[in-house]
Amino acid sequence: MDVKTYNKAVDLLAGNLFRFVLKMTKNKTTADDIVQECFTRLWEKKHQVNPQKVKSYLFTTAHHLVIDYFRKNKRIEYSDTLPVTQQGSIEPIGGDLQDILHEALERLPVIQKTVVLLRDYEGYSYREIAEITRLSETQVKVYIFRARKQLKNYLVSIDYVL
Amino acid sequence: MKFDITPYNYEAYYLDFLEGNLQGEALRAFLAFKHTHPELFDDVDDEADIVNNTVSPEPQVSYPTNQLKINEKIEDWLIAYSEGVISEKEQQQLGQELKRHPFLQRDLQLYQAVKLQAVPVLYPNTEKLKKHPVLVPVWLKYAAAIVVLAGLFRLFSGKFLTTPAYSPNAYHLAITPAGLPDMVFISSDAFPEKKAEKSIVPSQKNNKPSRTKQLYIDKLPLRRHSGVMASLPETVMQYRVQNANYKNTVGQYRAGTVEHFTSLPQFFTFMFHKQVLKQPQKQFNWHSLTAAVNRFTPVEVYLKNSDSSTVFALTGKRFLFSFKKNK
Repeated sequence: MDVKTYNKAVDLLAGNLFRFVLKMTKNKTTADDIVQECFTRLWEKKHQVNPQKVKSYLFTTAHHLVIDYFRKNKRIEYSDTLPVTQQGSIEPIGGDLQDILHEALERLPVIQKTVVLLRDYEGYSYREIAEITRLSETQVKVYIFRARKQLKNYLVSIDYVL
Repeated sequence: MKFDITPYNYEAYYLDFLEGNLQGEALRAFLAFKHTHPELFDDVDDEADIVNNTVSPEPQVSYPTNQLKINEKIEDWLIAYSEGVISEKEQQQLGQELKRHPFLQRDLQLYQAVKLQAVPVLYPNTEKLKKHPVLVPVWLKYAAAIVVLAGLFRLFSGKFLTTPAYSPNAYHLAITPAGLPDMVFISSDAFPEKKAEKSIVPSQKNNKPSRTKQLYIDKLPLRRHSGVMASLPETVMQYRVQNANYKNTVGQYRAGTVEHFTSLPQFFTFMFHKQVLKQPQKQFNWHSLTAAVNRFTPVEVYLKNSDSSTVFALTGKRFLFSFKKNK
């Protein structure tokens, strides 16, 4: 990978990577640090990384760094379900659908949040997400399905009207 | 199927383990990983508590009274349909279920709605991440070229300085002002190493130049030995005998004879051997050889006595081999 290809990758992918990491960490400084680290590693391995796999490499690195960040900050959540503060609450919550979905997204476990973001934001296939997260394709499918159920149930729980 | 459980993906397996969904080889792989990485599970005191505390009961989903609770299989079909990963057979079955239970349309709409829309985000430090090739200023390139040329010239010049080919006494190159010497002194005082040759020259008996010899030399027409030196591309030099039909002990030179040289030392070698040293009847007193190069006269060679008087001279534009009796 030469300088031109690398700089093109920066132009094309830095924003997406930053969005993904920021969504995961909810911290701009941390997200900035992680994005810089990702590109630093990319440059260091410029002769090893296939130019066709640059995006995958960056998101894989970002995923690992995010996991490390959570581990250091003890933010790994083991819950696989949405915490329901008031069981069976049907109080309607106003606001834009995307705002509500993002609110629901924050309640998902890290792994589900990761796969949903990679799926919806970056348009990755299950196979590509599996490569990035080092999971099996079946596992990715399971987590995405679980996440969709949680998000849908959240909409139902707040009596959201489409 | 091989289960590659790492610190970066073990949480997914852990969740399956906690929910009792991990079986067979996957379960064995996870337990092996858990055994080798106990530090990752330090925070978890009692897995049973975690299950009880974190896995909350399914949220109560209210449906109209006339609607049945959606079963898990159909729900998976709805998700698969909205994800675009449903098989043809499943899609047909889902279609039949949707016809039979119209209330499922609402669930389908919800699943199609629970997709995040990517909002473009501008990374603020893009320029900071970019790499920039090192740009060499133009003036620096010229300076480097000059240094290289100077080095080459020095190297080239060095050949003269380090090649004492024809004189054990002195042989040096110097840049001197261009000037065409009009005479070359010839003396009967030969080089020490040339004495043997003298002895076989009848006219040089008693180690004195004979009058015949001197006359012979004096009578040499200048034009006989004149030629044109030209610098050709790629450092090939050419010496063309202009107007000569001169025979010496080395060979005969005819007008139009052309010799090529790839370097000045090569040329000097040629000239010395052919025109000076190998002529047994000519003996020179000389102390130093000076080669001069300038833009107007490509090459000048001076063979000088110790008192700086010129013994022999070659000039580049037009070689004039002048001979004159020594004073």
